[in-house]
Amino acid sequence: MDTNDLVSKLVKDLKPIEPLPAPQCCGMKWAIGSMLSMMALFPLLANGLRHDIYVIYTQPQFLLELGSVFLAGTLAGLSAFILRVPQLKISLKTKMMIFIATTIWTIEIVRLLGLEFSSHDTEAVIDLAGHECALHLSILMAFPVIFIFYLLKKGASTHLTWSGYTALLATISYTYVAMRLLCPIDDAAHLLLWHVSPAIFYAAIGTFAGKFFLKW
Amino acid sequence: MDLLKVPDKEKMRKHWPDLMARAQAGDIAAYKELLNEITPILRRFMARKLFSQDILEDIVQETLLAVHTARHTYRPEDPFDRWLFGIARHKALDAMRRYYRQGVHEILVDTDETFSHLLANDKNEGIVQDIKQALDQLPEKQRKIVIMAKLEGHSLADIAVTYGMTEAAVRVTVHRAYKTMKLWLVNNGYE
Repeated sequence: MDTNDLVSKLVKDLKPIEPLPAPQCCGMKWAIGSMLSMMALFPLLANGLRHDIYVIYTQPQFLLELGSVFLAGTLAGLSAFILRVPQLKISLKTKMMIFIATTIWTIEIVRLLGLEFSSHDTEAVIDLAGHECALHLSILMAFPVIFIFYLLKKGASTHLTWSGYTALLATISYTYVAMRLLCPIDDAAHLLLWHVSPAIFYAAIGTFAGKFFLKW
Repeated sequence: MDLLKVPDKEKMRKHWPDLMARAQAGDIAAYKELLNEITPILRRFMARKLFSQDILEDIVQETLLAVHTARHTYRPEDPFDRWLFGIARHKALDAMRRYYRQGVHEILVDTDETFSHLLANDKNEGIVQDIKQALDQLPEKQRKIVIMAKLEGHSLADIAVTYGMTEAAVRVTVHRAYKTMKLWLVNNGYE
């Protein structure tokens, strides 16, 4: 087909369309949807919120941990929605958001590793019963991950790997926060093995998944 | 000389966002003007990225299709050039990966061959049967495309229109099918 014919065909096919909403709107929609879906699953998993929630939510360290991971999720989610619009280069602002989100996770992992190595307690590592947490994490993140990929598919990302990575980073961050509200075990080894490791595994998958699922 | 011309910055900044905003609202004239203006720009952009003139027009067409598909993602307050060249770069990289992985020259040579001369000769009955069996090894769409290209002698352009594909995609499909058939024929005693 000649290029001029193609232009004529495309012009003939033109229909009015709604421009994509702003990334903030989509991010908000996804965040609210994800939180509601996770809250709906709380009563079904592990009999609801952790029993010591009224004690622990007053501890600054716990709040700081949850707040920072939630921030990482929000920044990663916003980046994912910014990246769904075609762009020649990723803007510095977006790069910074991805960097901060990744750094927060790195700090969290290093903090947990530090706690584990200083405690010299390997009991939780061999406690295979903790696999329930990995399962709950997977169940909790199912809807958010499908929802974010559905919303991202409406766009046309030109940076598929980064889109996939940020989408999964956002999802695992929110899910990690939800799991910390469900699981009463604060042991670093347990958190590393059954909360953080699956999260890293899913983030790695997301990086590859973006290439396939977000292709357009 | 046209290839060396720099796109008009003023147009990129004001005129094209306006045209695209009108196109999003369904203004056919604005859309036609926009596509006609960006086509030579895309051609220049691709000429700088790609080596072969044979595939240049195909990639330009793929990019125009992508612009059409993704037109809802443009927001008039954003720079149009970054949006357009983002798509162009994405398509150029895709094409380079695809074409250079498969070997463009090999594809260009074998798509000109047809099996129709074999069918015209009664003496080739056995060969025709084998070719038909080789065709049966292909997925349905691939088989239909090969029949159009190699038995019925349709041009790649015709097939592209029939299946809503680009000529480049048809060429790649035919090439893949040809390789599958060749492998089957070799495994069944042909050299």
